[in-house]
Amino acid sequence: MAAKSTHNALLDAAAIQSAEHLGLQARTVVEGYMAGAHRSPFRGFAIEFAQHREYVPGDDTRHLDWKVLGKSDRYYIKQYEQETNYVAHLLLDGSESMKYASGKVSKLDYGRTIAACLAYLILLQRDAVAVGIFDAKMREYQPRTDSLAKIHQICQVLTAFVPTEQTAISNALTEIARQVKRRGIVILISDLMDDEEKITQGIQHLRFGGHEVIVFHVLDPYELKFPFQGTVEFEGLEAQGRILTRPSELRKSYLEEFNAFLDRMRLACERAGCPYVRISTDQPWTDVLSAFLATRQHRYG
Amino acid sequence: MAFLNPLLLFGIIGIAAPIIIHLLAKKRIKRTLWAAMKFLRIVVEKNQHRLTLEDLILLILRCLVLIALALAMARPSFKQGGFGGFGGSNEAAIILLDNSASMSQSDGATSRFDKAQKAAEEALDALPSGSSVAVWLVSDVVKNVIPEPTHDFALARKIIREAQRSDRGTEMPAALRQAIEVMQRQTTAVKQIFLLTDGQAAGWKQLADTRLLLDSVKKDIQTRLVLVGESEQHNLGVTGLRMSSALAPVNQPVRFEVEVANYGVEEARNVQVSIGVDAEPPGDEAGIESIPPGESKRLSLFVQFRDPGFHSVTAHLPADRNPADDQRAVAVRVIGEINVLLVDGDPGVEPRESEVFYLRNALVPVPPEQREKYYIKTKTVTAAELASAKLSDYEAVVLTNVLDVPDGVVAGFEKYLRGGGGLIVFPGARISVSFYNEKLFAEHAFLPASFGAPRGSAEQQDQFFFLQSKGYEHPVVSIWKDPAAGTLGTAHFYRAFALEPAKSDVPRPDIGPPALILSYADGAPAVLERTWGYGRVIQFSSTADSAWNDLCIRPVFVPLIHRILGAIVTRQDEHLNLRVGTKFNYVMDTEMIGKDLTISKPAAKKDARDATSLRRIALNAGLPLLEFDETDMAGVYDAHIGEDASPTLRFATQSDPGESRLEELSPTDLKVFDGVAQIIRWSPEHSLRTLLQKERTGSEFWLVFAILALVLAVAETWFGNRWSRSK
Repeated sequence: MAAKSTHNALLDAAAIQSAEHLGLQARTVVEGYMAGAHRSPFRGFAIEFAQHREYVPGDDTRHLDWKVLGKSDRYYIKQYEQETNYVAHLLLDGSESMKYASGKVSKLDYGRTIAACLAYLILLQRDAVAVGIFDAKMREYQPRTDSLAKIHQICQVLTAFVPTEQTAISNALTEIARQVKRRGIVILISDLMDDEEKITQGIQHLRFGGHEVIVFHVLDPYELKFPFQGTVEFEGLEAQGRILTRPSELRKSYLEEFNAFLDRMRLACERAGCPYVRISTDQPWTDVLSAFLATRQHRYG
Repeated sequence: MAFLNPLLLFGIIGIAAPIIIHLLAKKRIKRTLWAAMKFLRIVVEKNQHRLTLEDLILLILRCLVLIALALAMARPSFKQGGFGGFGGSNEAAIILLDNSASMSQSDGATSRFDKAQKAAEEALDALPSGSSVAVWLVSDVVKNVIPEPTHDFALARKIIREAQRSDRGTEMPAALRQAIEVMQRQTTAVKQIFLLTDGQAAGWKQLADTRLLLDSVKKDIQTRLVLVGESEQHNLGVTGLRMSSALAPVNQPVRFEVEVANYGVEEARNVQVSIGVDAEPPGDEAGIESIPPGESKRLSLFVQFRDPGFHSVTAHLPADRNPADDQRAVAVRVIGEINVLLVDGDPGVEPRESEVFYLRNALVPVPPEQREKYYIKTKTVTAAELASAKLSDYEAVVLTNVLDVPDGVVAGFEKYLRGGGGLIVFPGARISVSFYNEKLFAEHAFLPASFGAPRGSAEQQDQFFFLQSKGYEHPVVSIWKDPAAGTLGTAHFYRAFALEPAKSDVPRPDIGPPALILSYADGAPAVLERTWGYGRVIQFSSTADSAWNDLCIRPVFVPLIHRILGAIVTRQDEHLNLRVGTKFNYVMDTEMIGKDLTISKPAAKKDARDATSLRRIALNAGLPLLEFDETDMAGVYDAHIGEDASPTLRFATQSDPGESRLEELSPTDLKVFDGVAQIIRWSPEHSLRTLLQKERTGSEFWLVFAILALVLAVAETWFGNRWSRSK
């Protein structure tokens, strides 16, 4: 189904246009943001050789050990004590709860843009990036690439996705942890509307795998402020039934409950050593990039 | 429990409004997709029961506010001992409004009558809707303006507001009796009589009988005496005014006797009394040094009339708080000329031998050259000429020693007397006693007495008898009460007929009983009189000349004859002055028949609708009679033809002097009503309406419900605000 979607999206001129727009938007955001920057924020990667490993398709051929190839006719990749360039796994929550939009931009749309921007930024820094969209399981996955030329493909994947299922973040995190052996950065873009304990377990799972995890908690301003008036019937986006109530009278309780949830998530991330970035969809994207780069600078100086 | 405005209970239906609003509000639901359902569900689960409860409480509060408001406006009331249901009880009432003269008593700003009107309106307002009410104005008569209870309250209110005080006396028991009779005919469950009065003691003469009457009906009829006004400690009143001169000629001093009574509790000193003619300034004034409380004093004052005709004379006192008795007016017909027809039954040969010689000179006691100008004119005829004389041209006809008169003349006398003429009869040696006794006394009852056997002898002038020398009670001779005026008791009477007065049970109401003017010293009647129709007949027992007595040559003869003539002339004028409320009857000239007279009433505002009345002169029993019965006010009534400036006729009414006696029913008197009638002392500060409604319906609870509605509204607002806050 995902293939079909992608296929359709590829054929769909509007989808293509959207993808191009997303790529262009990402470029604009990133380049605009990076203009005037003289130092890479990703500096500090060690370049001390550690070991060889066998080449697998997708590896950058620049890291082939040509000497070993010349001597043994085997393809080995030189590995260093610490990767000079890292692999960033961008995991976008594609569950139905991400479809919520109080304004024009849904959380998913916002997440798509963030993902695209980060992918572009990472590729621009000549690091590798892999993009996955998940709900109850990994629905779309763009294998890692360090080619900036792949950004269009990434955008296409992001654009073409249509959410249909409920969230199961832990499943996606566990799957990534199992598949990706090499330590990298896992960037989770989600509203985290799932079982909190399982989310925490998933993050910890990645952390145990040696991955650095950055959580972008995407939220709608209405979810943060709950400004509804009158009698409102709320219909759950993930088959959670309906609730008829007067939200204005419940605002305080709701915000208490919701902020407690945010605090718990923030605390869980901090305990796991994960940077936690809360994003409201009414924030400028550059704020998100700033937050992201801030986490990087904080960690690597 | 009862509701005074039960229709407003339908306002309770209004409780549907908040329910409908509540239901409509549920229909105006916004729908939205939502991601963070988990948290919302937690919150809702925590709060939903509370929210539902709050909704329910607010809904109940709103409904209760409307119920309380509806109840407050329906004016619930509770009376111990019964459930009154939904108001609008079937009640009938008669409002008796005392409009007697004493109700003019003022506290300086408001008269008792004004207060009674206000109290009557309050009584009207206190009656529940659906009741019926009658309104009567009561004094010494009952003027049942709305005779039977009507549901037309607007009419009743109009009657009360436009009611006029009268100058009539007070007689409340009779009014109560009539009201009870009317109430007993009513079929309503509740019957009430409201008597709004000043409680003047003089108006309650039969208290014991009144109690018995009220006691007999107390189960069916509730009687309330609403007493207005406060007792007055000072009141001076003019209680009498009458002309004490025999006649009221033009440009002659005419004496009036004024009686002033002190009805206060303290001595009145230096009471100034004035008297005036028509609307002119007072012409005479005098002071009374002192009038002890409860007593009255008389004084004489003089006026002069410039023109003949109808005039009024008014005696004034300085104004006090009871204006009704501060003045008193009488109407006077001022004489321009009096024509007397002397019928000489024995003319004799010489003028001095004429039977009417002394009489004529006494009537016109002036030198010959002044006789033309003198106001009394005489004409002498013989008995034979009497038949051809036109009697209506004369104010008086004097028969002197006339043998008899033809039947035609007798019939003429009847018409003449009925129309107000005067007849004086002097007997003599020539009269036919049988004619006088049979025709003039027995058949026509002109004479107040029959002629009996004569006593004494005209020839033996050494034997004589006298007239009374004291005890002059009749107004004609009352001036001789004062010894300074001379005496009648010195005249010698040698011969006189015995006068045998008619029995007083005269069958005809237009014929008065015989009245003694003068008697002889031994008590035998000497001069008698009686009224006949509008006229008067005076009968002497002795001659008009000196044949049987020497009265005619004595100085007192002139004033005596003048006063007798005055009694005749003023006989008709007696009708010019009458008691308030009495029907006025006056014989007019025949040429007035068919003409309309506009009669203006005293003390009426010029623009008042009933300031004037129109009456047509019509023949009544063969006489051109003016009849007028709207004489409720004391004072001067003027009758005009068309736009004539001078009145064609003027008459006056006087109130009962007893009305000036303002003493109220004493506490002992009021105790008589214990158990049979409720006594309410009304004052502007204590609304009769509130009192009666409280009595009828018990205590009202509208305020409680109004406060409850307010409290509920405040609670609803407070809870609404509190609960609508974000939780």
